[in-house]
Amino acid sequence: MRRWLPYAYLPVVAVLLAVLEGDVLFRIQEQNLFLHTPLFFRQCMVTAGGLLMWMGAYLTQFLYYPMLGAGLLCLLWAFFMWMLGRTFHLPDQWMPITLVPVACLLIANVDLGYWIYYLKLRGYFFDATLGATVAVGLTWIYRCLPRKAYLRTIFVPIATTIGYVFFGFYGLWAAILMGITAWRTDSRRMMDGLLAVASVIIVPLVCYYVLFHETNLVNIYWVGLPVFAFRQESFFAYNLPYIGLVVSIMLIGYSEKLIGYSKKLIVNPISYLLLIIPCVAVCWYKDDNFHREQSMYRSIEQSDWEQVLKTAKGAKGEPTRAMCMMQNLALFRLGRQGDEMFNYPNGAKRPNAPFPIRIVHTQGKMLYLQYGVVNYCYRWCMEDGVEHGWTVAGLKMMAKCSLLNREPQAAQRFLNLLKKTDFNKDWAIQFQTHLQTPWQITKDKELGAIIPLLRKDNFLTADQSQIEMFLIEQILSTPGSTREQQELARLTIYYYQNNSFNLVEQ
Amino acid sequence: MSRLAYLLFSLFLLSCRQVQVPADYRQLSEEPKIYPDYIGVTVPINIAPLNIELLNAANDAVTRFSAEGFEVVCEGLKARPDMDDWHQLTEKAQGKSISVEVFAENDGKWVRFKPFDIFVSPDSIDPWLSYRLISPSYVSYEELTLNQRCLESYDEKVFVDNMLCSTESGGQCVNCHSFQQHNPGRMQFHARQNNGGTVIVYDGKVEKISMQNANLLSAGVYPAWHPWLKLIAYSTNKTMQSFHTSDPNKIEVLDSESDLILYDIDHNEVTTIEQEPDELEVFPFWAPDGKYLYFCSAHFKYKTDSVDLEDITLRYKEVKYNIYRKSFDPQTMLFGKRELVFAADSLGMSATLPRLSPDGRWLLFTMGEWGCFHIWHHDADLWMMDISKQLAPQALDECNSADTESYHSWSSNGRWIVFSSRRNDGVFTRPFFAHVNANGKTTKPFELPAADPDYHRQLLKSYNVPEFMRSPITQTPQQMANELKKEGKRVQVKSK
Repeated sequence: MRRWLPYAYLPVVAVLLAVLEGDVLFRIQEQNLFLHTPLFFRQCMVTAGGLLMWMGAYLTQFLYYPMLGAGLLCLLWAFFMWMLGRTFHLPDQWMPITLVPVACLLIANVDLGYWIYYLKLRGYFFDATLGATVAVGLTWIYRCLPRKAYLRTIFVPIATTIGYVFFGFYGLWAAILMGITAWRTDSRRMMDGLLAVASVIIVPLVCYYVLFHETNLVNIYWVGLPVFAFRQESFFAYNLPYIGLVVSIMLIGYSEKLIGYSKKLIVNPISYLLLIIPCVAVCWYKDDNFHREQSMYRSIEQSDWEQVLKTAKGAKGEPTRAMCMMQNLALFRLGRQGDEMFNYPNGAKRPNAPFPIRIVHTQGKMLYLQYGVVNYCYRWCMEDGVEHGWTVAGLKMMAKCSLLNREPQAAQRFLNLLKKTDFNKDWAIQFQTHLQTPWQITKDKELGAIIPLLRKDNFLTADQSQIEMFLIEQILSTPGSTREQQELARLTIYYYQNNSFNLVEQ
Repeated sequence: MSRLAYLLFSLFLLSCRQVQVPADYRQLSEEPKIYPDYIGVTVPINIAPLNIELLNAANDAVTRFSAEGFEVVCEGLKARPDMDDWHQLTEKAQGKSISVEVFAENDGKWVRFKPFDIFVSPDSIDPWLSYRLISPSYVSYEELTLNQRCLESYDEKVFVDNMLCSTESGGQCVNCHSFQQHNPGRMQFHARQNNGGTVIVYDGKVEKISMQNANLLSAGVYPAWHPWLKLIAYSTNKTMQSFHTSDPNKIEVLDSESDLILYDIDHNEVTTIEQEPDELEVFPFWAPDGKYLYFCSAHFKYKTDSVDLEDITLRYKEVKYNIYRKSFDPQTMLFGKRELVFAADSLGMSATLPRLSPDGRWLLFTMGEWGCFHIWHHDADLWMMDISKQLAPQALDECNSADTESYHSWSSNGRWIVFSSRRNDGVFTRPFFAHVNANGKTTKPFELPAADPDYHRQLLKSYNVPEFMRSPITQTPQQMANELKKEGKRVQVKSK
């Protein structure tokens, strides 16, 4: 068995991620924000695991180029597998077993679906990989330390403290791995094991009272892990890849002494793949509508309206309202809604998520912007930024709204922040020319099309998170809307009346 | 080893190198563009260093602060004087000014901008400021903290953090911190939603109370401590929000109903102060002698006999608040009748947040065209009137900007005001300070200094309710959270 063989699967995974999930990966980085400022670092560090989130957010930026980001992730996985092998002294025949935790890490990223709009953990796409690597790495250091002078024993609480402060839960996991390693290999196993358990219990409590003030006492042991909860409901199933990750590595650590007894059961990497590939395939979120939404969103960002329609046309079943709205927007922009609207798939399929999805949290902000309701776009960017974390997409839209609202100082603020990112600073610098030459905005491909839709009349109202209903009401019940807008609104209403879709739910 | 020592010694010497002020330069007639704008401001003698960032295009810069023969020279586009040097400088410049010269280098050539002054008032400022840090969202919230900041340095500490009581499914809003006479040992703040209630700190005793009662419109909202009695006046409000489709103000926050109540801490009792029909009373504030309670009230009659949210939403521009007061007898604890202090509606305006100076002479308030929530009104400005002479109020032109000025409070010596302003970008509120002399004349305000002068341009949070304190709050966020997690003691509501 060649030791490198398990690594050979990783490039395949990288290509699969980039090809199958390219638009999703791009969207994940748009939903992320990393700023090269001391303040951003300090804001990350107000909670245990702050460094992990800072690093995760940094790496997430690379998904701007999906192949680059996916490649980077797979490189990290390769390093993680190598470290697992070193830490637990895995012989060549056992190396394929390291693909099990990697599969868990992969599933944790590809089973998310609509969670990408709601997860509050910064850098979650890379956090588990980084955290697991740190946990195993600390265990490796523990194992490399000489046994004399209680060096290993002293290292346990120190590593747990440092690990917890900077990597949250993964620091505690490192302590457990060290405890297991001691139990299996060290003569001072009782002392180190007990110290590891005590550290796991005590370190978060001490940090709560002395160091951090951002984490509720009930959450101190889980900080650094994503929380899959919406309103009052928790969704345990999404934690399974993390449980699989923890359990698989603990089993690898615990099984060390078994090596040599059951070689034949595990030597064949194919047997692992037979287990892993179906698991990954089943857990991979493959919803066609979700992926088309991401693709259409990206096309709209590039003002590629024909591509939006092409993606809409290829829908494999009933589309979501967000898809229909994006498709109608494209037809509206191309001036073909009256002729072609009924030639495209239409419907109101509930997004494939275990909790209710509101369009305002997904594509709604962009739709408000494109229809010229900039205050509502701005409002939802702000609301979502506050509740779910600031994002590149949000800051970009807020800059556009501010510019269209003739608030150049506000636009400048958001652009200044975007200039501190790695992959969006060019966009910010380019966009800034609009502030210097506002009369040129009408020539901008995107903004130039929005300007005629801006309304001078003002109404005090609320959308109740019902974007399509609000847009239709806004267009039909108030003066000032364009003829094309009214036509689109009437056609949409007509479609609803004929199909009895439950508009309120989305 | 010796090489390493030499290298370290060289680095040490390099770090101690005296910054050279360019001798060869071209003089410019304009002042430098700096952030924060500290050109011509007046600062208290005990303020932290006013760090600045040069915004003009330059590769390098040198800034010289000098007063009475003492100078501090800083290198780089961000000028950050040493804390001790700065305090020596302000000591020397007391009652006079610090001259600031900025030199900028481009392509190896230096220019010197027109120097400007920073005036140093001998009037000191309260050493601590408390505020809430909040993202300027409309409905959502996540991280909210009540912070305290030393104005003599950059030390900042959190004393309440809502995340300690929030869960993924149950958030908590903390707000309305308020002190009795700038005393951090006597303070209160509210928590809403998860673990809601009001926490009252009084001379070391921390207690949570619950003012939720069927006989009140709401729990207490905007607080005002009596200057010495253990009483807090509150407004109770039914508040709603609506959103503009295109107006730059973006949101209107309206009270559909509101009253005034008085909470007696010792007896844990609430009584009604004002509950007039067709009147929306809000923003109580005690006169420093404790014999008057100032407040705002808007006359608003619904078209129907009952509260109609749509009616007030459609007619939101008609809601205009005047300033009133009621006499109060600290012996009998009885209030007199309401007296009109300032009829803002006669000017077609709406006045809010009345705050009297500690000497009782100057009434400072915010005025905008309508409504009570001026932080969201770009036209809102600060106004002041001389109560002792009953003169017409004047806009504080030195302090006001083209954008929002809103919440404000007086320092304990009455020589400084702090107020919220959105002048930088119209979105994020920053605290500004201005000197007020005995004649009520204010100076050009200065923004809260920060260790990194760019800090306030990066921070995506607003400073809310800035209040001076004589010393820091001693309670930790964890202590406050422990108190908040308890069940609040229910208040007794007594009829008037």
